[in-house]
Amino acid sequence: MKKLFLPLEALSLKRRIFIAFCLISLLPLLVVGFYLAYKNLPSYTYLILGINILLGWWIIVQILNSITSIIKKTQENFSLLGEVKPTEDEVKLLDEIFDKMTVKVRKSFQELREISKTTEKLNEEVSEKIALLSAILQINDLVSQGTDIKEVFRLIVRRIKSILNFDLTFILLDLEKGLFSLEAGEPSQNINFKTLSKDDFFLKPLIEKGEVILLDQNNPRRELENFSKDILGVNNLVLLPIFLKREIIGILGAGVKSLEFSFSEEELDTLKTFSKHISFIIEHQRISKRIKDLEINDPLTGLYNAKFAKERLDEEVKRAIVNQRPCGFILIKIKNFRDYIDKIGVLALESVLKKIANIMKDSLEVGQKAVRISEDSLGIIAPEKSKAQLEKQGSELLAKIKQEILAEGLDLVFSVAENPIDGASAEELISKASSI
Amino acid sequence: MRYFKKRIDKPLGELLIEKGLISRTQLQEALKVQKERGGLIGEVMVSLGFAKEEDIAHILSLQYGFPYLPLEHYEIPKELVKIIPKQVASQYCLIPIDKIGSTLTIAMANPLNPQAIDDVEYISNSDVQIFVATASDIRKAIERCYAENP
Repeated sequence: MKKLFLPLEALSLKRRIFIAFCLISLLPLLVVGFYLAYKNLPSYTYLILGINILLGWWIIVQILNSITSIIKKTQENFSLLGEVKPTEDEVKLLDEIFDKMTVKVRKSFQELREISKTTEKLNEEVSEKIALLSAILQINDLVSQGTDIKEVFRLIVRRIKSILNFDLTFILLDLEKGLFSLEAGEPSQNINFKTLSKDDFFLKPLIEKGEVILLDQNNPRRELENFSKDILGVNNLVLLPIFLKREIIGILGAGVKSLEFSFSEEELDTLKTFSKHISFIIEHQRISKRIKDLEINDPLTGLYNAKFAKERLDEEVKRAIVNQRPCGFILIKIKNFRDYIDKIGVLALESVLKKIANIMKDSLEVGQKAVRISEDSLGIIAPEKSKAQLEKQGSELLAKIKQEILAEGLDLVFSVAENPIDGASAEELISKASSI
Repeated sequence: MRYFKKRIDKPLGELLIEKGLISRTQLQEALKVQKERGGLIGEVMVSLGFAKEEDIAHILSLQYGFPYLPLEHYEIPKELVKIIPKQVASQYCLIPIDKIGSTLTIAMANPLNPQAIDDVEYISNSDVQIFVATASDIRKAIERCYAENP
C-alpha cells in the first residue's frame, strides 16, 4: 500500500522533529504574534492552525511509533540471544542494548582484525606455495629439456634462497662412497667447503636415522656450531636428507644469519618438498641415462648410433679374427661440415643426412650395418670384405649418393679401414678411416 | 671375388671320411663345435684330435690343386716378411715365402680364403701364388720371422 507522506519518511529523524516542532509551536506562535499586532484574524485561520497542529502531532506519533518499533525489535533480537532481560523501562533497556551493542561491535572489530591478520598470513602462505609451485614447474621444464643437472641444481638453490629468504642454500650429493660433494651452493663465495664426510659427527642423526638436523634459537646444537658459524658464516642451519629408494644420497642445506631465528614448520615443509624433488630429478636422470644407454638408433637418420656401431664393429672384428676373415668399415664424411650448415641451414642439412642414410640403407649387402658415428660421419660395418672390396663398395656408394642428391656445395668423401690391415678393434678402424 | 677351381667337388669333411681319416660321427661333432666356437673346420678337427694337420693340408692340396709345402726346414728370406704386416699374417695364417718379379708366393693354411688373398695382393701390390702348409708350421714360421722383423 502506498503511504500518504512518503517524502516525509525519506527525511532524517532530526528534520522530521523540526517540522513537527514548527507545526505545533512555531506556527501557532506566529499566528498569536499576528493577532496581538493586528487584533484581527480571518476565521479560516483557526481552522488551518488546527489542522497544522494536528499534522505536527501526527508526525510526532509516527516518530515515536518508529522508535518504539526499533526498541521492540532490538529487544526481541537481544532477548532471543539471551543478552538482555525484558523490562518496562524502555530507555534503560535501550541504554543497556546500546552498551551491549558497543561491546559486540568492538569485539567484532577485534575479530575482523584477527581475521584480517590470518588472511594476510594465509595470503603469504599461498604466495609462498605459488612461488614453490612455479619453481618446481620451472625446474621440471629444465629437466624435461635435458638441461645439465648441475644447472638444474643451481636453479633450485637460487629459488629456495629467494622463496624462503634464507642467506644460504646448498646441495650435497653422495657421488663417492662415504663422501658428500658440493653440487650447488648459493651464494657460492660463502660456501667454503667442497665435501663432507659421512663420518662427520654432526651428521650422525641424518646418516643413521634420516633425521632433519636443526640448529636455531629453539634447537641449540653445539656439535654443529663449528660447521655452521665458522665454515658457513650462519647462526642457524638446517640439513635435510635427500633419499633415493630409501638410501640417503645427498643433503639439502639452508642457513640464516640472524641471531634470533627459528625455522618454521612451513619453511621446513618447503625444504622437504625440494628435497623430495631433488631425489625425483636424480632418479629421472638415472633412468634417462639407462634409456639412452639402451638406445641403439640415431634419432635423425634412423641408422644405428655411434655406441652401437663401436660395439658391433668390435664384435665383428673379434669374429673375423676367430674365423680368419677380414672385417671392414666404410666411412662417408661431409667435408667442411660447419661451413655447409652455415650455408644451407640445419633443417636442410638434416634432410640431406636423411637422404644419404636412406641410400646407404638401400645399398647394404647381407650382414652389413649402416651407422652414424658422429654429426658429420656415417658408415657401414662390412664383415667379410677385403680392403679392395671395401674400396669398390665405398666408391660405388659415393657415386650413387652424388647422383641422387643434387645438393649444391655438398662435398662428400669416403674412406675405408679393414681388419687385419688397419687395426684389430673398432676404435682403431674408425680412427684410421676418419684420419684418411 | 676370387674363384677356386676344385679338382674334386667335395667338402673337406667328406674327403677326410672318404680317405678313412675321420668317421661321420667325428665330422658331425666337429661341425657342431665349429658352429659353437667358430674357426675353420680343418682346424677344429685337428684341435679335437680327429685328424692331423698334415692330412688336412694334403687333402686341401688334393682338392684344390695347391702344392703342399712343409715349412719346417724352409728358409724364408727376411726382407719378404716386411711386405706383409704381422697382424695380417697371423690373422690369415699365412706367410710370404718367395717373390719373383711381381708375383709373391705365400704359404697358407687355408687357401680357400679369397679375402685374405685379396688383402695380400692389395698390400703387396703383386699377384699371389699359393702353397698349402700346416697351420702350426706357419705359426712357427711367423714367430720365427716376425720376431726378427716385428
